Order: sequence, then structure tokens, then C-alpha cells
Amino acid sequence: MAISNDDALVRVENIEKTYTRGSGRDATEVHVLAGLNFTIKKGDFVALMGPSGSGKTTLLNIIAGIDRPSLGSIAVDGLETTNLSESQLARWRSENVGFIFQLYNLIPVLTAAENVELPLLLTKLGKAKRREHVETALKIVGLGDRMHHYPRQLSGGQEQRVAIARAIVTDPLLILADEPTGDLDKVAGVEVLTLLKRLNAEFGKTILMVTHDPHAAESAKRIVHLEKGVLVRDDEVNSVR
Amino acid sequence: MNAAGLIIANAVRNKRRTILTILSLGASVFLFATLESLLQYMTSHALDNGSARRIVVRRKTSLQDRLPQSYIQKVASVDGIECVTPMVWFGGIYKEETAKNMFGQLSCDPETWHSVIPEAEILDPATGKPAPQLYDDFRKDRQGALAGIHLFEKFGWKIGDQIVLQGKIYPCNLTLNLRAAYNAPRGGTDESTLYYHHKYIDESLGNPGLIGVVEARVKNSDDIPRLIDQIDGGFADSDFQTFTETEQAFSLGFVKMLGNLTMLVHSIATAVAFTMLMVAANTTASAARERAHEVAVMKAIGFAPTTVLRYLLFENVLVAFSGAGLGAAAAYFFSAQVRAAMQQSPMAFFFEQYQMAPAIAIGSTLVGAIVGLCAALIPCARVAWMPISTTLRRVA
Repeated sequence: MAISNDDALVRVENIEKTYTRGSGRDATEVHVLAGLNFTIKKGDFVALMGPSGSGKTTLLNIIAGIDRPSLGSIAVDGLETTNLSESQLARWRSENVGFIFQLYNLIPVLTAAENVELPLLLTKLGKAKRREHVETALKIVGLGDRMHHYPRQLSGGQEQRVAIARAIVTDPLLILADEPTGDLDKVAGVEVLTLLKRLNAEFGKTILMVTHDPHAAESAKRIVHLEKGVLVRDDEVNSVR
Repeated sequence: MNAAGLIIANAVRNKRRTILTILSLGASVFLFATLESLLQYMTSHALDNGSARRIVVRRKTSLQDRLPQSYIQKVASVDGIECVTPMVWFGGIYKEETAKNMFGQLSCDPETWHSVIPEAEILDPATGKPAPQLYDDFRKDRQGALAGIHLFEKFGWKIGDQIVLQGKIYPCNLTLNLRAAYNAPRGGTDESTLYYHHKYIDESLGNPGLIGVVEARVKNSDDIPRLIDQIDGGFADSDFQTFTETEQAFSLGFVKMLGNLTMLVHSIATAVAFTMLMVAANTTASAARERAHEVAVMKAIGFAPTTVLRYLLFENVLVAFSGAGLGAAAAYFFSAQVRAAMQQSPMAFFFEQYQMAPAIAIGSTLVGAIVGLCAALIPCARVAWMPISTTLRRVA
């Protein structure tokens, strides 16, 4: 079922993304996204599914402003992001987007607390305030007692929870998760999904999660299926069940 | 944590590589600073030990060719010349022929020497205090010698000691009585030369009536160009044509005689700097490549490419500065060892006062840091501006 556009946080209109593969005579154009229209309302938890090469991660990256569409426009909270410069996009991301990666991507030479503090270095918060935010974020993900541990001293699940704390520490409008359970065992995966559901339910965070895993997708409120760059299904989770 | 903490944490993340980079840069800067310091010393030594009010008249054909003794009076009579002294470089062997025993041995006219070199202060080497009366002892003793204070210190000489210089260039030995010491607290002349009576060597050689150079003090330094023209012009038609120059130029001439050496030293210093650049560039390039994924993550979090570049450059400059500082400090504190090492060379007497100037150490540190910055600029900029999505996808 399509979502009403009235309370849309993210509005994707006629997005096309084309890559050129090879060069010269061998150059071929690959259409990753083909005229996609898509919205995410505030407070929603959307799972983006589809086979490999369907354009899921590309769409996620375009919404995050780390990739640019060939055609079309993206608006997040009313701001047209496709026209922003690299540095404007970076600043916008630091204030509005929390990123969760499949491979956690923590900085190995920083402790859990320092990794979580990283996005706050881009704010004007003082040291004490930053510390307060870091403690709060780590407590939310249940790692208040692992603040001074380095990534190598944490399990995969704990690392991903630190990454989630890093994603929420700036209190962003939108959390984008790219296969957040893809590298975790089942138990750790469930913990992470539970945490994402909690962030959505308790803290009202809007989440867009790319996943291959249908069970993971069921944690979301809405599942969107992409195939060959085209949106083929858009369902509320209750209606799927 | 703050930005500085992040930079330091990243700079030392691979301790072995950081230490090796610091050591290799340090070794390069050590070599660079030492070579540059030696060159600077050679030039400044020549300038510091020369007076702007003295000129040296020598044979035009070669410094090794002699001038007739009559030229002393002829030069002295030129209008604008205050006083003159003849000089002959004896180049004898003291005790044994080793580099550490080499020092300048010049004849002079004791009646005029102090007028020609008034900046020299006569000392009692035992007390280190001025003792002008000792100059009379030197003047009155035909075999008397006046030596720079460094020679007294180096060889443990005392007033009244007798030393023998075995002739190497000339077929005679000089037996000299040490009568006085001198120093030059305000510069102007070096403190490692021994002076003896010109009459003594002339007699020892059978009165050939030849001298090496005429050293003259002029009344007004502004007259020097005119005096040079007048002196050299006056002897232009003689069998003994002269070449006159300021004492500073004369001293610099010795450095210029090492022309190939200075060029070689410069070339080595340049090669060292280039090697430093290559080492730093290679390390930075591989470190930056390894960090590409992490940089992409930081940019995805919201760090602008310029901010990331700034952090990466600070990291590299920090490492380069540490290495360069270490190398420059080592070169500074080891310059005494360099001086000791030079004692084995034929230029030993020239390097007796060698000490690296702090400015060279500071300059070399800055050169190292700048080299680190230059080496890091391209690889770091490349990583900082890599497309985030491509980098994340490729490395993942």
C-alpha cells in the first residue's frame, strides 16, 4: 500500500541512476534506478529489500547524499539535497543523518566512547556536553559499561551497537542502515533489530534499512521491494503478515 | 577526545611504521642539517675571520708563487694604506704529520702585525686575561711566536714552551718560543693561527727576499676598490703582477677552491632531501590507501573532504616534524662529534670551532615538516575526495 505524501520526511521523485561501465567502445550504461518515486513518512521504519543489483544501496546512498542521482530530486524534511555542494551535503549529513553500516566501520584506534563522540566533533558542543551525549547514546544501546573498550575488545554485536550509538548521538532526523545485521550471528542480529525497533518506537526515529533478510525486514513497519531499479512492492508489515 | 586527540591517535595507530618513518626522516634530516651546517660554517668562517678593512696582495699567477720583498714597502707607500705586514705560509709539521696537528703557520712583521690586526687581543693563556706586555716579548725574540688561544688550549702549550716546526714546503725547520697568545672576542680574525717573525724564516732560507702575500690595513674601507686598482695597476707591467682582494674575499677563495666539494655537498644534501620526500610520500601513500575506507566512513558521518584532508595532513606533518626535529636535534648535539671526526681530515684546523648554528637545526626541522606536508598533499587529497559510495563498496 502506498503511503500518503502529506507527512513525508523523505521524498524521492523520478530518481534515475546510471553508471557507465568500461570505457571507449566497450562502455556500457547500467541503469541502476529507473524513474523511482518513493516517500518515507516521519517516524516510519522502512525495510528496503530486493535482490543483489536491484539498486537498494544506491537508493540509500542517494538519500544520504553520498551519491548523486543522474536525474530526479530528493527532498529530506523539505530540503532539496540534490542541489547541495559536497561540503553542504557533509554538513547536512552531520546534522540530519545517522549511518549504520554492515561492517560497523568503527575507528579501531578510538574507544567506544570516542567513536560515538566522533560526529559530535562537528558540532559546537563543549567537552562536558559531548560526554553527556555519548554516555546517553551508549546507555541506550546497552553499552554504558563498555565506554573505554576498543573495537577489538568488543563482539560483533557490541561493535554494531556502538555504531548505532554513533548514528543516534547527534539525534538525527533519519537513520540509514545498510544491512546492519548482515555480518552478525542470529542472536546479535536480533539484538540489533530490537534496538532499531526501540529507537523507532520509543524515540520516534525514522529508519530506512536495507536488508536481504526477510526476518530482519519484518522488524520494520513497511517493506519496499526493488527489482532492477524499479519499486515493485510497497507493503505495510501487518498486511504482509 | 577532540580533533587533536583524533589526529594523534591516528598518527600513532601503526606504531612500528610511525617509529620507522620518524627514524628514517630523522636520519635524513640529520644528514641534511649536518651537510648544510658544514657548508654554512665554511662560508661564515671565512667571512668572520676576515676584516672589511684589510686587503691581501698576492702574485697574480698563483698563490704558490712568491712576491719580491720590495713589494712590502711599495704597497705600504700607496696613499690610503695604513700599515702592512708580509706573510708566508710555512705549512710545517708539528710533532708528527697528522691532520689533528695541522694549523695555520704564518710569518709576519711583529712591528706592524698588531696594527694590521688590531682586533686581536694579546692574552696570557695561563689566566686567559689580557696581557699586552707579552706582545713585546714576542716582538723582541727573533724566534718568538704568537699563537691563537685555541692552539694553546688544544696542545696544552704554555708561555715559554719551545716548539719545532719541520719544514715540508720549505727546506728548513723553525724552532719557535711561545711568547704570547691572542684571541679575537669580536671576531675579525681566527684564533687558531701561529705567527712568527718573517725575518726568521727569511734568514733560515738564506735570505731569498721573497714573501707569500702582503696583508694591508686600509685607512678607509670605501677606498678599497680604488686601492685594488691602484696596486694591481701599479704592478701590471712588472714581472710580478699582483692580484689584490679583500681579506674576506681571500678567505672565501679557499672555500671556492673547494668548489667541487661544495657542489658535491649541496648535491648530497639535495639528494637527501629528495630521499626524505620519497620516504614520506611512499609511507603516506600506503597509509592513506589503507585509510580510504575509514575516510569514506568519516565523510559519510558528516566530515567534509577539507576537514578530513586537514586531519590527514596534520597527522603527516606531526610525524614528519617529530622525525625532522629528532634528526635536527641529534645533528645539533652531535656537531661536536662531527668536529672530532673532522680532526682526522686535512681541514682539521679549519673545523676547530665548528658548531651547528641553532638556525640550521630549526631550519632543517621546518624543511622536514614541509617535506612531510608536500609528500602528503597529493595522496591525502586523493583519498579525501574519493567518492564515498564507491570507496565503501569497493573496500567492503
